[in-house]
Amino acid sequence: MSTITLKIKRQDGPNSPSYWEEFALPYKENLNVISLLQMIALNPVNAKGEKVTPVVYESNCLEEVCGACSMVINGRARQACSALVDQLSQPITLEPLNKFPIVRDLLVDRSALFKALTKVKAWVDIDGIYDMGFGPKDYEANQAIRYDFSRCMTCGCCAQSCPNYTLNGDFIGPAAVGQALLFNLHPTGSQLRGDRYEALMAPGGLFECGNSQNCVRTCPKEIPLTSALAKMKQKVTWYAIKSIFVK
Amino acid sequence: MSQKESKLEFALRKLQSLSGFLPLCVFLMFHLVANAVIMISPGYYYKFINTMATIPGLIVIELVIIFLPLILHGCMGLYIVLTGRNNPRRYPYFRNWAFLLQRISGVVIFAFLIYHVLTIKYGSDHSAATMILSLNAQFNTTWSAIFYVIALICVSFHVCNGLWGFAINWGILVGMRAQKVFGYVCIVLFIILLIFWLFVMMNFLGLSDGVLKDLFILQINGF
Ligand code: SF4
Ligand code: SF4
Ligand code: FES
Repeated sequence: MSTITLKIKRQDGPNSPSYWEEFALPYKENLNVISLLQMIALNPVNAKGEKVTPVVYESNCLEEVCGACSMVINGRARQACSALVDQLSQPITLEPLNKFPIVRDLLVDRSALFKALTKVKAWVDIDGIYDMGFGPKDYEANQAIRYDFSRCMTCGCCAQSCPNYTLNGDFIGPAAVGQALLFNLHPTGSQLRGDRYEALMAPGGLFECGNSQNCVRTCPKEIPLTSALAKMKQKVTWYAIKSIFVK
Repeated sequence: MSQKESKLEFALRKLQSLSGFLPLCVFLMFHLVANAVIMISPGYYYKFINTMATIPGLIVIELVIIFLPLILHGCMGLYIVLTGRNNPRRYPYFRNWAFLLQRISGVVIFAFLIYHVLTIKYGSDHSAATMILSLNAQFNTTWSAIFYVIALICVSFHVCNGLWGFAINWGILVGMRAQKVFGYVCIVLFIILLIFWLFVMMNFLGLSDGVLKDLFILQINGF
């Protein structure tokens, strides 16, 4: 195998039509998909030998912890930086995540994911008018559960594979539900749990999820999303029933 | 701010999920057991149906525990079907297929129920004899028999897979292991339920000529 065939679904701008473009790159050992895109950036010539614009993509950490380089590789959503060419069947196809607005080529606008995090208040509230001192201590067992969810990098793979997450729909997606649980499990973060339950009851909330469980299968961080979804469904359901009587 | 947002959709989704189990699933089980009475004897079943019809306030009961929940569950269900984007070819996992089949079976059942209720319940007169005779006739007609078998497969699947989703939506199944194990339980339930339904259907299909003649005489005399 002396060349690598790459088919990329490109788009010149947010509203332009998309088209496929093929590239043939010289084979080297131990490449990943980001290195292929870097090779194209260095010498943007397609398989027909025409000079083209370099393929636009996003990347940052190059070690699968930032989530920026998510794209659909050979049909599945995953990170380009941890997609090893030697393990991929050829031709390698690259497509942008289509559950997010496309900016250009493989670059998408994932801000819906971050907006979802602000909806569920995925943070620990420590601001006040005086120094609140140290927070309560936490048990190690609880920390271990939280650790799993803390690895989320808001990459969007779960949302991309979720049949109920759509480009124009308002479902907040599985990642934000996992983060809501993460911060509810935090001793200080749990002060906002009521707000999080309310947010998960709002339109686009938790019950848009129909339990297809794709998210847990595609999450590159192996975050137990389906148990977070179920746990939050339990909590929100009881919260709603309780609200009928105490509010 | 979030406090002000409408809880209507949340309430509708919860009711959609609840109504699937209570009363619809429970009613379906009752429907199955009631039909299974024909296995004792057609005559006994005939009497049983007539007794059922004398329950006071039957129309109200039917309206509250069958029709209204069915309309809510069905219409909200169609809305859910239309807002999703299925992708089992790209993500060919068992649960993803079950998710799609839940939607397909729901739509099939929706169509089937219109046919079933219009032809059997509101067919012609309301007599038990007519009902048994029309079921027998439908099961002996190839296309409607096939429609019934497909509907029975869909109903059995929709109920068992729906039970699994219900258990998650109401916080009964939380852990991933529990979800998996209950998933297997639901597959077994599906098989049992389907076999039972088909068995009941066979009993309606195979009524003897003598029984059919008796029913026919009863029908003519307006019982
Ligand atoms: S389990 Fe829910 S959130 Fe996860 S992919 Fe399925 S529908 Fe989406
Ligand atoms: S939950 Fe997993 S797939 Fe979803 S955004 Fe976080 S890391 Fe990515
Ligand atoms: S570049 Fe950060 S995950 Fe790939």
